[in-house]
Amino acid sequence: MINCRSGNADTSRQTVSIATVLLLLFFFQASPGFGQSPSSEKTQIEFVQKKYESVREGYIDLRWNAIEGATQYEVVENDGLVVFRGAFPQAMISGLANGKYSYQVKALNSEGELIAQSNQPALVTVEHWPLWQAIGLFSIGLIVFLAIIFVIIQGALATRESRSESVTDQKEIAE
Amino acid sequence: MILAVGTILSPQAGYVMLGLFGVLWVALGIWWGKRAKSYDGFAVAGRNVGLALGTATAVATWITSNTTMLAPQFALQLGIWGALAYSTASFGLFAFAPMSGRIRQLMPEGYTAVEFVRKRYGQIATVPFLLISLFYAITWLISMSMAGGKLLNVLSGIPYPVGMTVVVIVCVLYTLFGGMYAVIGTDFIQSLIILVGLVVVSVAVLTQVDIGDVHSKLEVQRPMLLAVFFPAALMSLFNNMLFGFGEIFHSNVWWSRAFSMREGVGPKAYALGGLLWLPVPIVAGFLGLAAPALGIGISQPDTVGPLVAATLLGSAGALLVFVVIFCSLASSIDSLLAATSDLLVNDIIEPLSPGEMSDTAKRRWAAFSIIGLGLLAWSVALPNVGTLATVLFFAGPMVGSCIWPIVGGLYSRRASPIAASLAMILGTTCGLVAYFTIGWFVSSLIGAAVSGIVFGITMWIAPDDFDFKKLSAPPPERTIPKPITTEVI
Repeated sequence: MINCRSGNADTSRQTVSIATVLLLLFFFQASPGFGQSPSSEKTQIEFVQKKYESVREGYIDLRWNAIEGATQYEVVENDGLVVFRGAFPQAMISGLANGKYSYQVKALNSEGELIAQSNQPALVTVEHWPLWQAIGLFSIGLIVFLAIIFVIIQGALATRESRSESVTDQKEIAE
Repeated sequence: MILAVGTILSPQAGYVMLGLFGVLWVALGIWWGKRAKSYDGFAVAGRNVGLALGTATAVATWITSNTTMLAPQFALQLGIWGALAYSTASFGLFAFAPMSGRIRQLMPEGYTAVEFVRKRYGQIATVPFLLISLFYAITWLISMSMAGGKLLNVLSGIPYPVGMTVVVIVCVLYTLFGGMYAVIGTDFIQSLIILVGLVVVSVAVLTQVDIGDVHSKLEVQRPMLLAVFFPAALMSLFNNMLFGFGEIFHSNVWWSRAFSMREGVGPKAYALGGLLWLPVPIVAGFLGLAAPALGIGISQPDTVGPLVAATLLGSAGALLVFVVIFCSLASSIDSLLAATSDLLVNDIIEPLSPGEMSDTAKRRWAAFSIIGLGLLAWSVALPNVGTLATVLFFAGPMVGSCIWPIVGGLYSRRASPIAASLAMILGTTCGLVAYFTIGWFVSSLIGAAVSGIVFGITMWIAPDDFDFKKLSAPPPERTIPKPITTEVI
């Protein structure tokens, strides 16, 4: 209240002071965190995790606090692409290639009006596993698979042979 | 962009469906339960199950809530490779087909997989195998119970604890009354409902979705989902296949069915079951791939399949999805309850009890086990922590490390107790290290690979010379109760 100093009581100054107070009040009401208007709630959305470093599988699970009165949330990627629309304060984003991504979330009410939005983005760095490692493990898997099938087929054939031999023996004994 | 906001069905519709199917399964359980006049009837359905019922039970059990809920999640997370990776689980059924014949031939009076390991390898290998079997069965049961609660919540808004509780209670009740007769009987009806429902859902979805449009949108917005060289997806392909092998080869769910089928039926039933199952995860996976392209917001990845189908097809679609997934849940939970109770009675309670256990006592203990397992699954599933994948895939390295001891034990005289034990312990350890250092998508693969190497080397260094006739001989101190009923179901 810098304009409400005591001892300066002329009318014009009083008018200025009152106007300033009203302006300040209006400013505070309109400012995030001070008033009760819908726009002030935009700062209330906070991502549970704001930084995802070295995401190896190309998918992430974004979570944020639920907003009262919100019937829909929208998650927006770097360039404005809406990648999620849903009713729950949680979004699964997948299929990301190597690179850096930034996500913002908006909360809308039943009329589709914006009632809150994130003040800080969730920052994601995707760095997939090296291809040599993937191909190496793929090859090991193939070898293990072929070995199992080989043992089962060989075992089944050997069992069939031994069973048919024993059946023949039993027939011969019976004869 | 299609908006998937809120639930598709009303809670009232959800409660009505839940009530209808709950009453139907329990009534069928009581009806079929009248056939289970002995423990043999209750545990292995009189060992007289034919090809139609055998195939149906294999399909229904393997089409779990995980197939309809995890396969789309795989596709959403790992793209086309993810859907293919999930479908490789059918190879487990193909591979188990000849093994089921061998099992039936070697152990005509057998009850459980643990019994095989005890007779084949002795106590030393039984301990890790029993622990792995119990851990896997319980995590599967919990993941299935969680799936029930999540599905009802996503589709109809029924609160998670209520939906999960009802699903568990219904399955416990009809398994309790009917044992394996009820399980296999309901599996037959459930498999028909699941397969018809999936065909209708897929046709309906394909008429509403332009595949070319999905492809072009994914190419621009989510390129990795279509990429051939997607590292995590490439690693997951054989991991999932070996996880499926491990699940089927070691789990008493599949062994108890092999014991329940008439001689010669198992190989055909499992092979046919695999063929019928193969396309299911591919169809379900497409729903996961379609989600980002259609702009359907996904909050919980394991609910992507039901949510996409229900969003595209409206209330009728949601009802159909509800029925299909409720059937797939019930068909797996009942199988797990029955097979795990067999395991508890035959491999823990009976060996610990003094003297010979009567049929009545075994039946009573089986009932206690089913109730206890239901309570355990309910209490762990109640907090709803983690996704289905994280819960189930933790068991991946353990079951992967059982592949070689089972295959080797069935076909090779040289497979030794020390080789089997070391393979399970070291395979599990290394697989778990991989699970925590790399991820769930390599843990079964590492478990199976390490277990195979250890099993081979130890068998070469310290071979056994096992006489397979020992497997069919009853224990000297006990007599195996003969089935009272030999009726064909």
